[in-house]
Amino acid sequence: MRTSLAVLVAKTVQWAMKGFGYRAGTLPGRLALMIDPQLFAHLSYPKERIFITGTNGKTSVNNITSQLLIHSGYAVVCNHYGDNLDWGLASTMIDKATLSGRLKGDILCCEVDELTVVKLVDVIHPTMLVINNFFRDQLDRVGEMDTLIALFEKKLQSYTGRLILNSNDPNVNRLALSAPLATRLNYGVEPSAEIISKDSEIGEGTRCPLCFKELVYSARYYSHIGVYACPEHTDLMRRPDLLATQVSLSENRFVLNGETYPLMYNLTYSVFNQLAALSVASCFDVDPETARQVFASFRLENGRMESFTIREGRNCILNLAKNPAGASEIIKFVRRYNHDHVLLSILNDNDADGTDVSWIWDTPYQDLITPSTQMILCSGKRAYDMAIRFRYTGFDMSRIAVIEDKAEAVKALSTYDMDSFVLSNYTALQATRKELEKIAL
Amino acid sequence: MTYRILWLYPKEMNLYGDRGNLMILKQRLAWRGIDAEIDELNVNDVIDLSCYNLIYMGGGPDSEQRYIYEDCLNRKADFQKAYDQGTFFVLICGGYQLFGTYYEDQFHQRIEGVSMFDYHTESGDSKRCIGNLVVDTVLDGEPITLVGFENHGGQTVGVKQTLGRVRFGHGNSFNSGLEGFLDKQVIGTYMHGSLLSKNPELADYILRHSLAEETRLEPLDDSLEAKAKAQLIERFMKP
Repeated sequence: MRTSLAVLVAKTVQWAMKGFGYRAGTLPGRLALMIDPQLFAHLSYPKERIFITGTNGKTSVNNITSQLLIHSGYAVVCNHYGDNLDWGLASTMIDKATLSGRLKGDILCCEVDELTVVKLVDVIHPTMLVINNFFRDQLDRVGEMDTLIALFEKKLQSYTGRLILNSNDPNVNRLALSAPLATRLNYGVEPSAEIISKDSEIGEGTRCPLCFKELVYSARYYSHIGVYACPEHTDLMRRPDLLATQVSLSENRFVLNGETYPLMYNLTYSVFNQLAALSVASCFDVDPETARQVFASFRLENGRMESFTIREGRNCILNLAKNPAGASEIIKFVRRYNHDHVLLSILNDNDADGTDVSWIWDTPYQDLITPSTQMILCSGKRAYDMAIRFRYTGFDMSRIAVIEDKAEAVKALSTYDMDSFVLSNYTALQATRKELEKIAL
Repeated sequence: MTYRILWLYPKEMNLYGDRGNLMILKQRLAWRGIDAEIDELNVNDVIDLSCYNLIYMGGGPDSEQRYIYEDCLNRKADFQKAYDQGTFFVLICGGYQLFGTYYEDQFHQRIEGVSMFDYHTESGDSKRCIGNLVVDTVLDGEPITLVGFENHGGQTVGVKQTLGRVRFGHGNSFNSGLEGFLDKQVIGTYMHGSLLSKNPELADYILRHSLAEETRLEPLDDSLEAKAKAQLIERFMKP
């Protein structure tokens, strides 16, 4: 009864908001959970339920996975926009449910925030749990890495579904040790010259979970992602069931099981995101040609490597940069660009961003500075912290400007007759997208 | 002359952007024409601790702290010698805790500290101190407000000379009203942010007290930091 009421109220709100031209967002789910706090236990779900989580890449992996499934003929319930806490998940599910709370679709495929996975895994019982990576992120909300891993390990003891893990991340690879009842499927990337990092980077989780000896890396891709071994437990890193080989950034491709696939983005982490999706796809009848087509044509228009033309003949690329590991990868991408350009870095400190901005000092922003960097604009609630960060790279202070208002900052960006790159952290991203769209030609 | 910094256990104690403080000190010295060199001390390294202007340690996760504390204790005599010779110490979070007499980890196990200073740290249980931190202090006679962020379970008590009074946040322990430890050549604090990113006055205080007395530090244009600080103080202190 309560459930039906919750669903009815939520659906009414969704219908009304869509009628007025708004995206319904998380409000319907919030209301539903107020009426029925045990909502998730009362809904009926499709036979296949996929949870996708990790620090970076959830939205990408979720969207790519659902595209692969949709293009293979499945009806998928998916939170495409990335609302991955309980309100957002409830909204997504109710939107595709009958009034009695039965989800219409063959597959539920959702990105789920890490702490929310811990909450809901015993309630929704996902048949597949994909964990892409664990990096330092939002230390004030999530707590230290150890805490998060401990929470997962506790929950995984009784997990009986399929655990899909990234072998190249020791923080994730180790979770299989705590999941005796799960079926396992691992993915990973074979080293190739173009993806091995030569910089020493800040990494976490570089100890063996069994004996605590420091892990030794034979190849490091980025942060703590790579090929590692424990001096004592030599087969700690599980051999990937899906192993991407011949990864080439210059030729934008990788090979899996004899099939060549295009890289969606010219960055190492893109292989991992695509591999995670292919791992799920391998459990359904998704054929390689479908995958190739999705990789070649599907693009998330939500601020991940998104292009805007805000000035005639000039390109502006927007990216999410919300923690040191993810930001470092974007920085490597921008750094490769050797024509004059302007940077806009936007930093917020809302709850969903993590209210502690100390992480920007663990991020190699100094690597962004090249002879082609002409101007740096800083925006967002913590624009001044961002400007101070750039000040201490030694960059010419007269070419650093603080424009707190995002709309003004984007307008200012378009006054420069050169290409530009925008880096934004989480809560500023969608608003920045909208501002760029507004002035795009 | 070269300003020499020793960074203790950078691989383990590097959790909250604390490396930013070294970036800031190095750059502020460079702008005054002084070269800085940063050496790293890792577990089992054999290093002469007696030739540094500054010895620095950041914060780290409890599990990493476990790996370094024995090595740290073994160097107690060397740290004392460096202190006696005038080396300045900046100790953040876990580093701050470790130089007290002891600290209690999350399992209430007592872990012996270097005991260079009298305070100790108890386990916080449910009283974790997370949030923005605004602290009023006096540095060389000047009243200065410091702004940063704290994130610690440990509750540090018995600090005889604190760094300052808390205007917003917790400080040494839950609602304690007092933050950090200040001595003529030591700063111990829970403040991240990084600590020196919005507090250039503190950065220069550290440099003044760790350089030869005659060294003159030209004032720098810290207007960005001043604006950042003013904005945040207004925001946090809003009723």
